Amino acid sequence: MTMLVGLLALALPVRAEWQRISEAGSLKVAVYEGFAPFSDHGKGIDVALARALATRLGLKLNLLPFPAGENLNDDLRNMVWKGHYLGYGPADVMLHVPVDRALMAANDKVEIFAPYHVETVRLVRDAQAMPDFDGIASLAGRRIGVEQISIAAMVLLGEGGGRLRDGVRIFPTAAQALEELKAGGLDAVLANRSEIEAAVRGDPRYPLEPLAFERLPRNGWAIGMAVRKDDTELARRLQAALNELVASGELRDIFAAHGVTVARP
Amino acid sequence: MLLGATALGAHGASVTNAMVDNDAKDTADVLSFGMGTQGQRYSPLNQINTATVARLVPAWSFSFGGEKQRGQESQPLIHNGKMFVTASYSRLFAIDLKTGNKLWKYEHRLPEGIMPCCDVVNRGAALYDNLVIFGTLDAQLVALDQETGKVVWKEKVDDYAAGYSMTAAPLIAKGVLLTGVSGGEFGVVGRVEARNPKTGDLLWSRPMVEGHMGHRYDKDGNAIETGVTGTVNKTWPGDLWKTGGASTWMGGTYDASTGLAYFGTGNPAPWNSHLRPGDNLYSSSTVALDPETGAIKWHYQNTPNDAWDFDGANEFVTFDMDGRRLGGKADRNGFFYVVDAKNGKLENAFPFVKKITWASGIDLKTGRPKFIEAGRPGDPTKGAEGKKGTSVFAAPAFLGAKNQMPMAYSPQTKLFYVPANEWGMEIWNEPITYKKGGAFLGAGFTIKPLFDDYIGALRAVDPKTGKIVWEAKNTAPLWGGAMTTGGNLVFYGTPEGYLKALDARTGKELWKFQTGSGVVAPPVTWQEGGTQYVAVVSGWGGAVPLWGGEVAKKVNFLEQGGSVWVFKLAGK
Repeated sequence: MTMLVGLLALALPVRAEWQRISEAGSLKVAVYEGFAPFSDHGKGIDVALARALATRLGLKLNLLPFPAGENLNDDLRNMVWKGHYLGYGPADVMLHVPVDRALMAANDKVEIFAPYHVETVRLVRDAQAMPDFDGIASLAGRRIGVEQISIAAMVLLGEGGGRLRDGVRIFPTAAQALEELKAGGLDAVLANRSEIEAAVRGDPRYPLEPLAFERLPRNGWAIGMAVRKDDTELARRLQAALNELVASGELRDIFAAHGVTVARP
Repeated sequence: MLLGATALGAHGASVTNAMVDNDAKDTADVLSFGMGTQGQRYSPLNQINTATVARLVPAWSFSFGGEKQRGQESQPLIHNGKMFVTASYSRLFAIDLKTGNKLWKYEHRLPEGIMPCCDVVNRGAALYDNLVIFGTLDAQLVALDQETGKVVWKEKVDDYAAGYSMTAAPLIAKGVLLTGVSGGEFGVVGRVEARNPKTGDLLWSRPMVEGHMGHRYDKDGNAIETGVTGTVNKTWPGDLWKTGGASTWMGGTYDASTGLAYFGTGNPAPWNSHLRPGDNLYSSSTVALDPETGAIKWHYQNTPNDAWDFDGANEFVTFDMDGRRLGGKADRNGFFYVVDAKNGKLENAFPFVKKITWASGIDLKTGRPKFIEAGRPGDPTKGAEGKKGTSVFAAPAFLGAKNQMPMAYSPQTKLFYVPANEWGMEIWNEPITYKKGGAFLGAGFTIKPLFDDYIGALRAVDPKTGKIVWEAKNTAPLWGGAMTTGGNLVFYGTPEGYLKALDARTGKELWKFQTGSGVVAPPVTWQEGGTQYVAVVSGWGGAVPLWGGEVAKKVNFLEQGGSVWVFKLAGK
């Protein structure tokens, strides 16, 4: 595509897209499936946020839950700028998109913006089973639950040439690993802080610990949303709506209702 | 069933075990994927031959229509005056062989949220009794009445939301219906299942990953344990066998003389081999099963502790050599294996592509690869936060020296005809990637052609000497299967849109026809009323356009389609 034609053509959709959405009266929001506490069976933080954003924009919510692809580029293609080849999508906006420079650079057809939370990986332990804790060394010989194909699983399985590997217990989701921890079947779980907080709800029997694995992003990652590159009017309105949700404390309350402390970027 | 024993060679509407077992010899029918359950894709027909093939012209063509096209990888079946052909998006058509008119169509209702990894393809159906049976993208099996297209039974094989899917043609072996499952990287564990083809009732299920329990099922559908596959933790550390992969997504072959069904298994999960030291059985292997019980009779592993996505799902095709029944397999990993079909012992193994970086050869004594450790991608959990790892160049690429496109074997020339591809890949550990909204440690890769002038090559491979007797190069990667005939011909299609016929002994191109879209499916042939026909499905798609890399330049001008073409000699 030549940029010149591109830019001229862009002048129109900027408002046209917003006009189409407001005339239709509903906002189509893509959220991950099977992703407690954010979006699972039509409930969760992202679902509540989607509803609050739609309400602020004077629209009804049209939720589009979708299964995660191999990577974020696939998800952005299927849910934001192109649609899935099975005929569903794209949505008007996708939630829970990492606000990351490399991801933006690799996806020039989308606008990633409006960070609303920072996610980090944490260890949650059963204080009775593991009363003393002294970092990674304390994990030797322990039964630790992880979600399959997650960063938590990878760093734990790879640590020290695999010296913790035999104690790693693999579950389909972090939520299931956390259930097992509460049932007494595990000593600890390595998962995202939000997933842990939603499950243990501040129970002092299950303290959280930061852990410094070699390749774990120490400061976590910010999550925001994504729209098509030329939907600037929609992006502007969503950012304004989010700002209002932050200022009014509504965002904090949405997270708190699920037991999670929102971490502002 | 009652007629089975006497109906050999007859063409009643009802497809019997005897007819399925005789499929390769009976030139009036094509009842199974592979033109016979052994998968040789050889027909003794010779009306179309090296002397006459130049006169091959279209008899009719049929469009699959619809708004959705994408990859058409299906092999048609021929029986009782009808063609049964599946199409993308889990569709199935019955067509009148004489006129090319549509008799009926079945369109499976696909739910939103299915996750096929590699396009919305289907490779074909199976015929049994009065039924035509195929698998769908949402992991169901559907059996339709051949006459009316009405659903006779429908069974859910697994949960599509958990990543399961079905794209392969089912297999009939000893009167049972054998199927595998497809699935991506989402903790799917491969297995082979047997059903009663008339009712869809489950008979047994056998997981392909060491540590998982197998079952048989009584009349009321109650599961009875039949023992664990392999030994827990023998070749998998810790809990990793639980998400072991080894999906059986290409289905299997069956040899009535050995009484065994042969299924290839996919690569192990997770992708990073450093997290699962050990052979990771039975991933990237050929597994021989007893169709009646699901017992594993032998296995041969092509790529132990796979680190390159060298899926072992490719077909195991049995053939005779020096008075013995052997099996050939052209693996993703670049080696062609000749294995004893009765006991799984390796007889011969040799490269069928020009560049292999992961192993210097296969030790014929031990049956194990001689690994080149420098060719193994690095461990993504090692190194500093936010740093890109060093790049490793690996060949073949993850799409394999041969992918899903089936090869053919000619008992006449004693050669295998293998649609091969020459490509490699750069692999490195990304500083950070993202998956399902969260940080992840992924590998970056880019797929690269190895030569300027071609990627694909149809190769005539001598299983005895390991020599490539001839090759026919192709600019784009080959993705359709091969067929060979008693007319001393090899037929195969190209992504550029051609169906071609070559001299089976020399590789000389004798005929080609432009089908209008890329051919990524295997041809078939049959004879009716004194006329030999050849058919092939056309419609560009499959995994190549989804992955691309530098290869995309060679294929991005190709257009999608969806049709089946039938040819015969002019004047016939």
